[in-house]
Amino acid sequence: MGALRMLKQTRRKTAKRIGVEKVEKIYGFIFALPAIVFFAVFYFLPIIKTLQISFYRWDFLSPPAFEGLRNYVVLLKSSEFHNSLWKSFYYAFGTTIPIWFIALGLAVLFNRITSTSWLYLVVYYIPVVIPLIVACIVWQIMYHPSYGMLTLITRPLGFVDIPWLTSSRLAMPSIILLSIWKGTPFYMVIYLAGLVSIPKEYTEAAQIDGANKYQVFLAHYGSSSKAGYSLRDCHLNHRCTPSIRPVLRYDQRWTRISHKSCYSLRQRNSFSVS
Amino acid sequence: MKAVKKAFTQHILWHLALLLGAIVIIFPIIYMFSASFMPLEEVFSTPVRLWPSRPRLLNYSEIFTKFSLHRYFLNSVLLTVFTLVCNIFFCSLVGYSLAKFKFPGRDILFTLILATMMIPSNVIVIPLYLLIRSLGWVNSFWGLSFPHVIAPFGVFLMRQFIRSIPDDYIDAARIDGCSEFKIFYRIIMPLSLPAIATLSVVTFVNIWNLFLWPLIVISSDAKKTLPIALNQFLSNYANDWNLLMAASVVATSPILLFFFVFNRGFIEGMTGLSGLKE
Repeated sequence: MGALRMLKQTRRKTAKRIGVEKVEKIYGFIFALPAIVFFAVFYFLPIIKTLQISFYRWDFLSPPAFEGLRNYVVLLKSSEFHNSLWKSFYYAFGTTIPIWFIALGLAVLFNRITSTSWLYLVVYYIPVVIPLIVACIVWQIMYHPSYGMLTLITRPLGFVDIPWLTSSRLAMPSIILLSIWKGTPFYMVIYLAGLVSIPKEYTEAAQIDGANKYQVFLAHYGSSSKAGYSLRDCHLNHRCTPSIRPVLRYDQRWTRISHKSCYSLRQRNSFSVS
Repeated sequence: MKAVKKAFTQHILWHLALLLGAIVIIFPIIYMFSASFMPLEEVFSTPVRLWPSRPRLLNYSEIFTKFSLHRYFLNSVLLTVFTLVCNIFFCSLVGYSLAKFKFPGRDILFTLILATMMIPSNVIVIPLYLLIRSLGWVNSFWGLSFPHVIAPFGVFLMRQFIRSIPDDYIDAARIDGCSEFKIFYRIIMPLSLPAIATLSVVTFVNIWNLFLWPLIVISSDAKKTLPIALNQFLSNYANDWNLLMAASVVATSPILLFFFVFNRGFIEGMTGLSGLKE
């Protein structure tokens, strides 16, 4: 104890002697300066500018004229905006919800097999690393009504020449399918990390207490009120949940962020999603 | 004995399920590779062919001679390498300053940097373009690369990692008369190599796959990056599927190669798991 205090004292003394506090202030600021300038210019300036331009009428040629909230009124009234808003919701929920279930299911499957799972994981993860534009090109070709790869499945089932990307009803589900393909492995890995970090003892304890597999799974999933196995085990339940809950929250945040990627495909294919 | 047998069959079933899933997931990629070796009439055959009857490399030589894909490839490599080096240097420098120095406004700065992670990049693309235009950087390498020189995620990652390096290393170096900048590149950088590896992977994938920003900034053909060139290729040669697939293979192969070599670091880096662990 004494030694530690002495060490701290000497450290404070040397810090004073060589003027560390001052050094820290100066050099800390110098080292942070590139970031201060960079984020101010390339992030905060554009954000402020976005807000500012939204109150102006401006065609980028004549000088901008202040208009107040008119742009917002026009936007909210336009049926095009309503349509795109609805399509965005359709896309976002249509992608996110299946991804949650498929990714979690696959993660549970992976968690079962301890030996060769890394090899599988590498294969499963490939869609995430390839460029989105490449994925779009490959899938566009796979979706071709008469020569696409999907005809291998649909033709024996009796469907011929399905207009995957050109029919207004099928286009969005087709894009959603591609997004699920490209997105699921990412969330699977995140779920898997959460599942792996749950100590085996919890599962075993729950099983000894008479919880069936489904109940154990629910408890792990984190909804402590719904997780079925008797209130008596609440403390156990409570101890289980922290391990996957932050992972879930993290996952949901990422899913939302990554859906900006839909833009490029819509732009890619000139079909209308109306 | 019965229990063992049951466990064994269950194990086999799990494996079969995973194998089936793997085939479904990998299928488009395999098709991309096999179609890139086919002549055009084999691509457009009914029923659909899975393998080329005689694999040929003509498609590849054609995309390099007719479409000069190597130029776009080089542009992409240049952009990725430059941004990677800048990110490694600046993110660790700023991360170091945020982790180990006490200066007024430090916590506010860190919060603001974190806040920028929440903003979708599409929202600021137009004002950013206006800014680049006023700097005279439209259709230039600087305009393309500069907005990506420091990534907020990279700063966050490096700061979290450098915080776990004991102060004693820095103090000892200071007492020995090491200059502040030398402490950074002789002590902090080598010690934070694991985090730098993660940062490199994330930056590499993000920049190599970058689409929207180069699409807006770059207008001349000679300066296009691979994703933009592919986009253009798709509209010009929409019916030459075999060439499209060959170009896609070229655009994907560097990432796939790195992925197969550093797969563990790749997966942990991209999902941010190694960053969260501390």
